[in-house]
This record gives sequence, C-alpha cells and structure tokens, in this order.
Amino acid sequence: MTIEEYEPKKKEWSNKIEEVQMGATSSQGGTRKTTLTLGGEEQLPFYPDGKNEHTPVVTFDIFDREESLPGVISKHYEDVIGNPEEWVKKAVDEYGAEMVTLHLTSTDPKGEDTAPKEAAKTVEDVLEAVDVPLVIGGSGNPKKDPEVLKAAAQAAEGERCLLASATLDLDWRTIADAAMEYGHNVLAWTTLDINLQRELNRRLINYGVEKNCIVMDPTTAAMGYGLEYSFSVLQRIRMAGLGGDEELDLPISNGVTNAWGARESWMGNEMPQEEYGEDWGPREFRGPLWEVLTGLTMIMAGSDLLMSLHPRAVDVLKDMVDRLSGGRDVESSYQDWIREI
Amino acid sequence: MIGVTDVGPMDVYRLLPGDNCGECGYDNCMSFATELLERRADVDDCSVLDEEGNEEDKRKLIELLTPSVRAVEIGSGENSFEIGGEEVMYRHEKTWFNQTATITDVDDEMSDEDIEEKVKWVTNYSREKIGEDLSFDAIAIRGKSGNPDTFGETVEIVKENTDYPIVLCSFDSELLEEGVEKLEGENPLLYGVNLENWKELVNLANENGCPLVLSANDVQDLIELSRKAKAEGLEDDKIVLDFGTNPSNLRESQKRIIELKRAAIEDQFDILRYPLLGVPATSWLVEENENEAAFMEATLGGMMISGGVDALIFHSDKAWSLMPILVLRQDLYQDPRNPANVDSELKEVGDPGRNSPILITTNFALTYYTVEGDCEGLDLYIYPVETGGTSVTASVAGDILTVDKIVNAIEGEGLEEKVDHRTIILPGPAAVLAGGIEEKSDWNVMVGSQDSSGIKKYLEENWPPN
Repeated sequence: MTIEEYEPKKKEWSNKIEEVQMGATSSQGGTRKTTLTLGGEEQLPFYPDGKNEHTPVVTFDIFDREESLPGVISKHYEDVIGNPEEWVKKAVDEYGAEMVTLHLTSTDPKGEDTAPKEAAKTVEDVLEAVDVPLVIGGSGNPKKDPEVLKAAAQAAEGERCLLASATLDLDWRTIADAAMEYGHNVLAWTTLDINLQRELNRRLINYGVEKNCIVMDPTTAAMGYGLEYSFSVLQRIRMAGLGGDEELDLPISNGVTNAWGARESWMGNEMPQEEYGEDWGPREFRGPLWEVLTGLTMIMAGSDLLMSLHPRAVDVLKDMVDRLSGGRDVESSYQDWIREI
Repeated sequence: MIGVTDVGPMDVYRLLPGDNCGECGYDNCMSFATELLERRADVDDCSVLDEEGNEEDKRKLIELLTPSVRAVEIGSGENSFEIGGEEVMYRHEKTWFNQTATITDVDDEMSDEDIEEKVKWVTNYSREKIGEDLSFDAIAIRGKSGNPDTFGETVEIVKENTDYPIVLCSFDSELLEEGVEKLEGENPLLYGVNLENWKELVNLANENGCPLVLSANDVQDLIELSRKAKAEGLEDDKIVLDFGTNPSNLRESQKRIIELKRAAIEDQFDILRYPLLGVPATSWLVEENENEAAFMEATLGGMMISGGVDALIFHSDKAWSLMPILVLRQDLYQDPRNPANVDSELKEVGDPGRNSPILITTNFALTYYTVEGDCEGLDLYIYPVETGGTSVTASVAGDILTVDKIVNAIEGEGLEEKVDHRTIILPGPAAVLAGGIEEKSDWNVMVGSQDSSGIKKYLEENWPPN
C-alpha cells in the first residue's frame, strides 16, 4: 500500500470584512463607557485558518411598550416590561448586557402610533440609564420608521448607535442622512436575497454612507420556519465578502428573537399532546433552546451581532462563542465517555 | 482533483455501453446517465456493464459516481439508514444528502426496566413537521460495566424492545464480540477503534461485515488508523471517523471537523473520505446538573449539524432537548434547489364543498405548509396570496400583503363560483386589512386565530357564520 501523507492546509482569503464600531466614548463625541467592534474577519467563523480579532456580540432586545411576550421570557422581565429605562438597566446590571437593542414598537401606526418626538425622549432616557452601545429599532412600518429613526438619531447624536433599519421598501435616504449627520451606523435590512442585499448596500455607499458605518441584516428565519434560508444566505454573503466582493464585505446582524415566532418555542406541551399525540417537553427549557439553536446556527454561518431576548439564551450563546474561541480550555478526559457518563 | 459536483452527464455517458437497450428501465443511455447523477438509479441497474470485458468501465463508473464522503449503511431491513454520501462542503453548493443520524443511548449498568423504558421511548418517538415524520435513527449501547456478559444481556433487552439499528460502544473487543453475536445479521455500527485495539476490532468487523468507527482526537492518528484498518481489509463502505468531541474546548473539535471535511471534499484525500461521528453526549461529563447537561448537549449537537457532521450520539432522554435537534436537522437538510414558494392559486384541503371556509395566507412555502398541516382532517380552501416569499406577519408589516392584493386575488380567482357564502377568513396578524377588504369588495371578512395552530378551534367555534 502506498504511503499517503496529508497535511491540512490553511485557507487564505483575499479580503477582510469591514470593521464597524458600535458606541462612542466621550473622547469620540459620545457618552458610552464601552464600545464594541463588529466585523474585521479574515476567515470563516471559528475556522482553524487563523483567529478573527473580534468575536460575535450577543445583545439584549428591549421594547418601549408593554410588549406581549411568551411567559417563558416575560417572567424574567415582569418588573420592567413597559418601562424601557428600568428594562435596559436590568439587562445591563443583572444580565451583563454588552449592548442593547431598543425596539420603538410603540410607534407602529397600527398600534399606539407614538410620535417620533416621544420615541426620541425614550431613546434619551435609555442612553442616560446605561453606558453601553445601543441599537435603535423602529416598528417595522415603512412609512413611519424613517421619521422615527431620524428623531432618535438626533436625540442620540454622537453616540454611534445602529439605526435599524434601512430597507429598499422605504425612504432609506432619510435614515442614511440621519446616520451621517448625527454620527450613527445604518442597519441595511433585506429579505433573504443576496442580490437585493448588494443593491441596498450599493445605494447606501453611493449615497455617501461610509462602509465602516454599515451592518447588514439579511433576515433571520426561526428554526423550523426557514432557518436554512438564513443559514445559507449568510454563508454565501460571508464567503463572497472574504473572497473580495466589495458590496458584501460588511458585518452581519441577526434578529435571533425571531425564534420566538416558532410555536415550538412558546407553546406548552398540552396542545401537541392532545392534538397530535406528540411529546414536545416543557417549554421552560425548550423555548430558550429554540432561541439558542437559531442563534448558534447564525453564528456558525458568520453572524457578528445576535439580537436576542431570553436571558438564558444570551448566556449560552455567549458561552458558545467563548468555547468556540478556545476559552474554557479545561482538561477534560472526554475520551472515556463510554465508561464515564 | 474532481469532486462529484464537477461530474456531468457526458462524463457518465462515456463509460456506459451506449446500446440504448433500455434494460435499466430508461429510454437510453443518456437518460440513465442523468438518473445516475441524480442518485435515482444505480450502476447495478445496467446489466450490460456486468458482461465480460466491461469490468474496467464499471469500476471506473462506480469510482466516478462515489461521492467525496463515502456512504456507510447502518442496520438492516426497513430501518437501516445511510450516513455520509456527501459531495459538498456547503449546502448551498448543491445540497446535503443524508441527514445527520441522531442516536441516543442506554448503558449496561442501567436497570432492565430503565433500559426498556428508554428504548421504547426512543423507538416510539415521532413528531410530524412539514409532512415529514421526525424520529430517531438508532440506539447506542454503552459497555459501561466493562463486563462482556452484562453487556450481552443488555444487548438482548434492547433487541427485544426495538427494531431500530444499534451502535455497540466499547473499546474492549470482548464486549463488542459478545454484542455482535446477539445481533447477527443486523449490521450494527461498532464503536470504537483506537491505536491499542485496532487489530482485534477490525478483524471482528470484517468477520461480521459490520461498519466500524475509528476514534482519535488527532487527524494524523485518524490517518494512521485508517491506513492500518484498510491494510487489514476493512472496506471503504464500512469506515466512520470519530474526531473526538471535546465539550470544553470546542475550537479544538471544530478544527478537526473542518480539516476532515476539507480533506475528503476539497482535497479528495482518499483514506479520510469517510463520514464523521460526533458525540455531544460528552457534555454530560462537564455539566453540573441534568438540565444543564441536556441543554449543552443539544447546543453542541446543533453546532455539529450545521458543520455537516454525519452522525451524533446523544445521552438525553428528554423531548425538549432532542426534538429541536430533529427540527434543525430537517431544516439544514432541505434541498436548497427546491423553490421557496408555492403557486399562488386556490388549494383544497380534504374535500371542500360549497359551504366550506376559505382561509387566506401567503405563498411562502413554510407558511403555506404550516397552515395546511394545521388543517389536516378538515375540508376547506386555502388561498396563498403572492408575497414573494414572506410570512404573514412580515408581509403585513412590510405592506406586501395588502387590501388590494387580497381583493384582486379573491375576485380574480372566481371564488364566488366555488362557494355559496361570501366570507373569507384572514390570519390574525392580518386583522388590520379586514375593514379595507370589506370596503373594496363584496366579501365579508372574519379574523381567525393569531397562529394557525388555532385554526381548528376557531372554525369549530365560529364556522359557519350566522
């Protein structure tokens, strides 16, 4: 038999992903005590080809209204739901949030239709309450969001927040203007289409937004409800960026909270048992795990920013990032698992 | 080096007889070539290739069609399954073919009752999703006792309580031999070969025709084991590689997964072209309590499924930790080449009549199939409105599912001819559109449940409208 030798080779990509800073300190024009950097990758996530300087950031979602959340989540925030100032403090002080996303869902015209001015006040209050970088989200309504984000951007001038989101289906120029004028980053959101993502990125860049102020959100589908589309779109985008595609070499953000749209995350076990004769187990664990697996799959595909909700999920996702980076290098003799478990 | 993805019908055709005799069941050799590439036909279907003088062509053809990661069959009979058989590193390059084998365990120090209970639970576990039955693939039996007789007894209990394929786990050839004897003809997977026991285990596997796991925490050690095993006669379709699942330092395990997959798929390094086995169960060695362990085990399993690992051994017996794994697996093993939308046209569930309800939803495949699934056993119509691949909530928020679109759809479809009533039912998240639809059309609108899981109850209580 021929003697065959093999030495695994390291892959070298031709391009580096853009680095985007989140948050600005006092010397930079803001009041944040900490900042975070997204992106900067030179290889695929946690691949042995080298070590990426920055690791994915896991953040907490908070809402500016009495958001109706599944019981498995809301029990952790019972005392603060409806009070964004208190909620953000809890996220940072009790749960160690490194960054928070404030969703201004009360501005939804189909809901409370809160005025942009009021929403801006909430943004001010939240910025005052904590020292970490902030993502600011509208309600998703294409007609209202540009005005809301403009007002929010002004209120948060200098803090380098991430304005969520510019899309091809709304007045993205207003959002881009607000980002450039008040020193913020833009989240460019498209729906699982690489070419549309390129298009939106291109428009923002041609309009004048600096590349190091843009983060992409290609949309996160929950596990069981299209996760594979997000996984593959993310992988393709990241590989294109590393391979030299200058319209896709930007950091990626994911709305992992979307996992809670899956009934398997919030539904109790009685319904599946009675209706289908199926055992899904208790939702106390199943829910957070659903969010974790959704988020982890995004991490493995190249996500830089995981917008998450359940404290347990945030914890586990952060731990996974740590372990994938080589942390927690405990000597464990796992080889004898057969006799030891 | 060429992976199977670069192989086209002409490459296959060149090695076929060219008679167009039709013995294979296809019209001509070119059709057969295409079917072979799509894995819908087998080389053995061509009887002409078995004739004298064609051996070399047949051999070359088999080699050409063998995927970069070879396929290994585990078990026998109707519950047998294949692992490996993969062509691409990233699913978007084509598709992943054989979903990750999901295996959970018992050990020979458990009581007979506990073994029976878990084995029955694993065997009976099933959940339906998007028209597929999600269930486990095999049961692993760990030789924890180190005693061949104890192990053998456990194997017998398991065998009595399941017809699922078995994975026999021990580094001690005596235990495995005892187990293999009890499972004659059942093609169990044997775990595992290391640098000390390889000779006995390879001989045991060869004698019984069983597939075998080679286990090492180092790629070079795996190469050495593979070389030794093949020299000892172990066949290519009987080899599985355990790269070592370190539950603490995931970077280490991830490194080996990537290197092994690259070796097989990108570098075509022949003696590593085998399916990979992970053991997320090692989480149980480092976590404090049961729930933490099961949670981390599932998380680790998820990481490996997204990395294309071919088989996983778990320890959990909890639906909450393993059902999500079955769903994640289903997701990532969807064929990306299939379309994401269904046709925007009136669909029938069951046998709808002139008084049956009409449900409105979007034509995003996942949305549609979820709604359809929730209507099982009912007789009704579903109209999936064209939203370019977005769900109800997203398309309402993004003004893609609009009053006008729905009105045009129901009027254009001629629904008034199908039913005697004039009522459509909107999904809960589209409630805001109800008023507008009633204004702009002759139709009444009812607003159904927030989630399609509430459809049955909603219809029971609200249909027909008074």
